[in-house]
Amino acid sequence: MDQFIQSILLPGLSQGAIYGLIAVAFAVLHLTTGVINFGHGQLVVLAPIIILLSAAAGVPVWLAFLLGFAALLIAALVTEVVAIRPFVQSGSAVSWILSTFGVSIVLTEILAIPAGGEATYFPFGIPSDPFTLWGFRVSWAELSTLPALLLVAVLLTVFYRATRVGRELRAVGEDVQGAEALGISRARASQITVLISALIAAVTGFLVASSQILLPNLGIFFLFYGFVAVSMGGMNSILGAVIGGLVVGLVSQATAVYIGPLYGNLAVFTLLVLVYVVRPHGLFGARPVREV
Amino acid sequence: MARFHENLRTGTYAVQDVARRGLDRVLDRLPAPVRRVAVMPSVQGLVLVAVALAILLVTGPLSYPAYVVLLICVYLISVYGVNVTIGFSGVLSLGQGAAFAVGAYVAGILAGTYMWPIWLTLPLALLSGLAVGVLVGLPAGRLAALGLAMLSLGTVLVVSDMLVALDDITRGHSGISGITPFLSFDPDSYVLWEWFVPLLILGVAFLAFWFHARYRTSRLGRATAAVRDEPIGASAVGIGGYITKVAAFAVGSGMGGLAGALFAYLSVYISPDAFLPSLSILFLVMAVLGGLGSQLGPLVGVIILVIVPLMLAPFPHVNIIVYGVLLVLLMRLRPRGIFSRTAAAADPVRESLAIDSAGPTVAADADPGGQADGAVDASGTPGDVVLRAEDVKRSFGGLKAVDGVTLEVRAGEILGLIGPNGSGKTTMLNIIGGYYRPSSGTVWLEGVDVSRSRPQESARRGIARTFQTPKTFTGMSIDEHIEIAVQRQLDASPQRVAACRAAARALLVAGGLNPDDLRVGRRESRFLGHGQLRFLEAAMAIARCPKVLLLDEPAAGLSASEIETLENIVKDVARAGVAVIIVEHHLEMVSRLVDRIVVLDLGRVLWEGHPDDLHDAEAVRAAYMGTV
Repeated sequence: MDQFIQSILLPGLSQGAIYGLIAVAFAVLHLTTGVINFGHGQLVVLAPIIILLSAAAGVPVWLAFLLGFAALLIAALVTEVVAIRPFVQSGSAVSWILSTFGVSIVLTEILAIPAGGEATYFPFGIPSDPFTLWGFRVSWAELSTLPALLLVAVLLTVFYRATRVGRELRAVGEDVQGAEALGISRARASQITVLISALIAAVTGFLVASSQILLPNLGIFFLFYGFVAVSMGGMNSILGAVIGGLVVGLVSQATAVYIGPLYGNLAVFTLLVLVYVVRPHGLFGARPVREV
Repeated sequence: MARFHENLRTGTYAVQDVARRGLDRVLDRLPAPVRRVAVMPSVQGLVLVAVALAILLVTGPLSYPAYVVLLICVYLISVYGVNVTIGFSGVLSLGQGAAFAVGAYVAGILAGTYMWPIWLTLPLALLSGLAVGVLVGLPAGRLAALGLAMLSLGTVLVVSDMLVALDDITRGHSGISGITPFLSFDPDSYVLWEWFVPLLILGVAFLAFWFHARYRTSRLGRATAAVRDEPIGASAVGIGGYITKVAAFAVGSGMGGLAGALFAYLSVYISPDAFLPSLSILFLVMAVLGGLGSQLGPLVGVIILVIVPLMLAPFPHVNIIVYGVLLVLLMRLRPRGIFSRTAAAADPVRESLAIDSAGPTVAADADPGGQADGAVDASGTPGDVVLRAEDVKRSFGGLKAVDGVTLEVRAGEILGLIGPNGSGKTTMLNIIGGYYRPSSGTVWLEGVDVSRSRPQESARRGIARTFQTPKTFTGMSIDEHIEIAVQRQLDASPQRVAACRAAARALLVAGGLNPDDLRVGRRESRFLGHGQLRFLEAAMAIARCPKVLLLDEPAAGLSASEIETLENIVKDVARAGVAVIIVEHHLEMVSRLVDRIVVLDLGRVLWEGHPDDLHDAEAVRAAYMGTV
């Protein structure tokens, strides 16, 4: 039992919280714009890599963090203008999949230029030195991800229920034309949601950089794992994204331990197929009404 | 900025349209046999192969330019596969690289390790690609574009892991070398002739080009494109969507697998590094750049995206950044790619609707089968009951949209279904057509219970319909629309077929779509106006020569003279023995046209009778005006 907690439950939940954060960002964006940003995984690793590069160039650490955050915001806003805003609630999935996919290709490749695709260690994060707690080897970096996910989820739930802007964002997701007739701007709504998802990406990136080695091509795995998590919960549900992320984390960790590290993707892929076979609209998703 | 985009978009499409029209005009002037040969995909493919062969002959089969040409051919096979999957069926696959890698490894392992003959490895690679496609495509019935995109992306990740994980057969990162073509299981039977693989690749590229074009013009291919453009409209002519999508996935991946096998033979050595996820992106961008769904798009896309990266080779990373930027720019500025025409060749309307091809029309009057089919007899009284709805109910949540309606319609009869807004008219049509299942009650079509049928099943049993907003296929030509309808013609007497085809022709004429003008027929329906689409949709429905024709507000938006034309055509169709149900708000038209009226109110039958008595019925007046 202890062995199970040590090698599967703790790392699985910790890693699952990262996937949960990505899934929550997907849910936030999808709720309002109907778009999944295929470049979100790259946004996650963007800030830490920029911080590392600037620090290596001799920039003070606080300024490096500022630069990294600024780069993340700029990348998110550019993505929004070129690849998300034109397709808000448009229904033509192929267009936005391809254009956000294009952005993700560009970001991955730009990030790979300085590092040459090499793995990098991030020294400015939450300490990852292991210590013993109730008989388990843990680290602060590992322990911090789940509380961060829960905090983000609670804040977002409050934001969507209790604030005017949050309700407006939901209104755009329900009915763009109706919301526009009430004076809510589609462009502004899409911009605000992308900014929220960029903030979540900043948190995710900090946690990721603290606990694991950075690679520019991690983005595509984050995209896939986060997507499996969000579709398990039902595209627009924040609670669903949290649960989905944790399940994905546990499943991939268990597979990596019991079968082999190269079979993690296969297990998550199988999970996605299972979701589609058993519950195509997710745990908390509503079946769309078909209209003739 | 927005206007600049708009101008660029419409401008380039307009230029392309002019160019195409000019080309068509030249082609139309050629003598018929030459024209027919020039547009045949096999001839076009032969021209391409001849060009490639000429380059190979000049430079020698092992030179660098020859390698580039052969690589273009290999990619072409794979990208034509992408075009079948994404372009024809509209489902987004990001995973062609997975099929390509699987095909390459199947051929590589069998030939490199076990020395199997090439006539066995190539078909097996094709089949393994096919299997990958079927596996990814099977959930297509339940998933939208996004789900399939992710499944296929996941396949790429899993396959690239497996290439390393299963290292006892794939030899992991060290790869497989010595992939040579063998003629039999005898290890000494390898082919030394340096032209063997190049000629094989050219031959398969030709087959892929030809097959891709044939697939699109086949019955299945047209159905695939129809489902892509308008699944509901496709179900109304009897086409189910699921099988077309799975088939497109399977065929596209199969072509990817075959291309992978040829790549293995061309490279002699393969390792996981040759099949990174970026390969899938490359195939995708090639197809999108050329123009998804077009005939020549993949060719142009592949040539550009093989040549340009070669020129960019001194600058690492720039290559891949170019793909990404291209994707974003294309989606903003030119989402339909360089070649935007997605319509395929089809029989001209005048041939599809030719009456003599359906059988002897002169003899039809004397044909005793005409009477047995339930056609109207000389006295003009309607024939047998064709469709009967019994105590049909349907509620949406707490709302009873249809609450116990019983109605029947006979062959040759025109039934008008009227009532105030929200009285359940369209819901009733949707129940008859199979779009909604009744909560209770039964719909009988010629004695068969169709109330549990899906729309395409009802459509195949003899129901044709139009919709309030026309559900036509934007990326297909008028010729194709009519051919789809005629191919799915329901059994009927020659006399009835003749009447239906004449009516369909008359509808096209009324819509300003002259059926005898070849150029009009080639127009894609996305360029037609709303009124023209209405006539086109009605012509499709009637050209199928249905047993029951459902018309949902056909007169909406038409002028008085157009309505009169429409009335005459509907009367002709009914006279030929088709049962017609028409939902319409235009009461004068209904009174002139129909034999019997059913008035619905709040989901119940309020009144039923001859149109002349309608205005005397107090209940009807109360329902429409509120008070008497």
